[in-house]
Amino acid sequence: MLLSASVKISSVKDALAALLKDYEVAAPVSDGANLLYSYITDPNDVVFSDQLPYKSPKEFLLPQTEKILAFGEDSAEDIQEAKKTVIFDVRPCDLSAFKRITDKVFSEGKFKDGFYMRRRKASATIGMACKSLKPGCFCNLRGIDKSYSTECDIFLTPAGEDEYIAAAHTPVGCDLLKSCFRSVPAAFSPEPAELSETLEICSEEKDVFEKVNWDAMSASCISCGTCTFVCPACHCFDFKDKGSVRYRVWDSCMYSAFTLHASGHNPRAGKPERFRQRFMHKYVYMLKNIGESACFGCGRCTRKCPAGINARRVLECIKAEAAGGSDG
Amino acid sequence: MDSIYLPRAYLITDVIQETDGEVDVKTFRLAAKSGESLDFMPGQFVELTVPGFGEAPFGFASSPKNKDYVELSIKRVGVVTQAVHDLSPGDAVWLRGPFGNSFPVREMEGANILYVAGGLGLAPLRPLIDYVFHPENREKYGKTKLLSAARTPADFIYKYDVGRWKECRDFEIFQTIDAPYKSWEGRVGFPHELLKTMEILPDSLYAVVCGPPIMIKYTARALKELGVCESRIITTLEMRMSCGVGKCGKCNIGRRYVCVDGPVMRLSDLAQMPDEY
Repeated sequence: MLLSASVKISSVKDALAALLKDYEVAAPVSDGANLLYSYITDPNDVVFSDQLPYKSPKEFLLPQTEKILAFGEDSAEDIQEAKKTVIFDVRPCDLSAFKRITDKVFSEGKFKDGFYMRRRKASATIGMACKSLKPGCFCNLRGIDKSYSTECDIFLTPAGEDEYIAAAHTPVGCDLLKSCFRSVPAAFSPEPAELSETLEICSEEKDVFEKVNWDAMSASCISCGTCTFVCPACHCFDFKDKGSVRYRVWDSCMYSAFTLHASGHNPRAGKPERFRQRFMHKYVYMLKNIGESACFGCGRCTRKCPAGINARRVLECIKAEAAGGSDG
Repeated sequence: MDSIYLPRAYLITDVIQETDGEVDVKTFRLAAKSGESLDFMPGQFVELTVPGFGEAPFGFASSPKNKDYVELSIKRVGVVTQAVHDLSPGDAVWLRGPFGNSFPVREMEGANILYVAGGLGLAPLRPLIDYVFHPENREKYGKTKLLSAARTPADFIYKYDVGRWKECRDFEIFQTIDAPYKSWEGRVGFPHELLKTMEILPDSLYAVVCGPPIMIKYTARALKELGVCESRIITTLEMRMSCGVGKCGKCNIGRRYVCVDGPVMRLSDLAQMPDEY
């Protein structure tokens, strides 16, 4: 932590108004039925609530549809727009998903994704503590402290009735705190979180693949892909061309076309295989490949699943079946 | 810095109709509009775009020693491949790459090599065959054999290469078709069956197998039974992919991505991977 200060809750809208002068600001708003992150023009539209918006704010780093290039006669041109953006009221689960999953996938290694990196660099995140676990939430089983995170520029922790303690974790966060928030310096030492043991699948890849009864596990799934779209860590995509412009669009492992070969062959043609892919990618492959499972227990997939599939319970079943006898 | 998704413009300088049978394969010779060469190693692949139709991955099919052009052999099967097949010399396509790992050509030095190709599977082997035959490299490798299989006589690709290859020293070619066919006097049968009739000295051998998944599975099993070490049975895999660089999440087999951890895999790798290809 570089800086801590107390901020009156009543002054946060003024701070958002100040931010709007230089930044696009994305924050939770209501569309009448759902709470969702959206670009705002008026701080009065922001909904202050302990609820999690139904989709994660990943779309501000990895838009659902983005132009990436245009073909000319002899050369193709990158489209490099990245607006200066502040994402407000991001919870610890989402902050971890960005820092530990999408940042690693898109910004590290031999091939770096300039589109994501430009957006990430142009964005500041203002995190917010969750007061309670909502139905479906299981961040406590995913090693996440719902009350505090350092994986953002500024983190707001409620202190008393009418105050936040703002902790700035980056130079950008310090600047924003000083320039846009009316704050008074205040000491802050966050209480260490009491976390449950992390629910992680420890079995070998082939055991999980072969021993789990994926047919039974996926029986009620309707392959709608909602779970992948609301998830902060899911990041699979496709390219679509329209005329001379190429777009990157979100894709979903829950769709059969995701892996359909032109020949008609499909290695994941059935629902059980696709369901297996989603859970194994999150909890087995990512853990092995980058040292972190791609789930932070935000519970959105569980809350939005039209078939009532509970991700935490599926995870527990997979763990038990994979570790069980060879007859599964 | 250019994006990892940004392709470069190429001109089609030649189109060769390879097959006249059940599958429609054409080879496209492509030269960069900028004049720069596309350096790659045998086994690598490239993403090809026909604007408006999309992008798809194809293995290089020409010698990596050739710096003036690259060749891709493309079967007409889906949207992008149909669009490419509709193009002619003088038309443009776009390439992005090279991507993926490559055949372990250094490690293979000193060994004999058996190539087993099923249909269009000969395409990704051709850069390796020509790499080994290149005067700079030929001394480094032992005897080479090619077992090439196709559905019908008309489905063999690179028929015009056979004469050229036969002139190279220590090379034998065996061609086989799936079922008896009028006027075909050569071998009939699947590669995994014919292997058993061939003289295979497993100890000093690398076997490189390319073709449809089912052919790879049977052939690899037969080679293993003949005593070829699993780490020296090598294949290349195909999966649907978008990015080619390990981001888009489509082409994985278990935790490995065909685009960055492959497409070249050893049977010893496949043995550890879930059976989902």
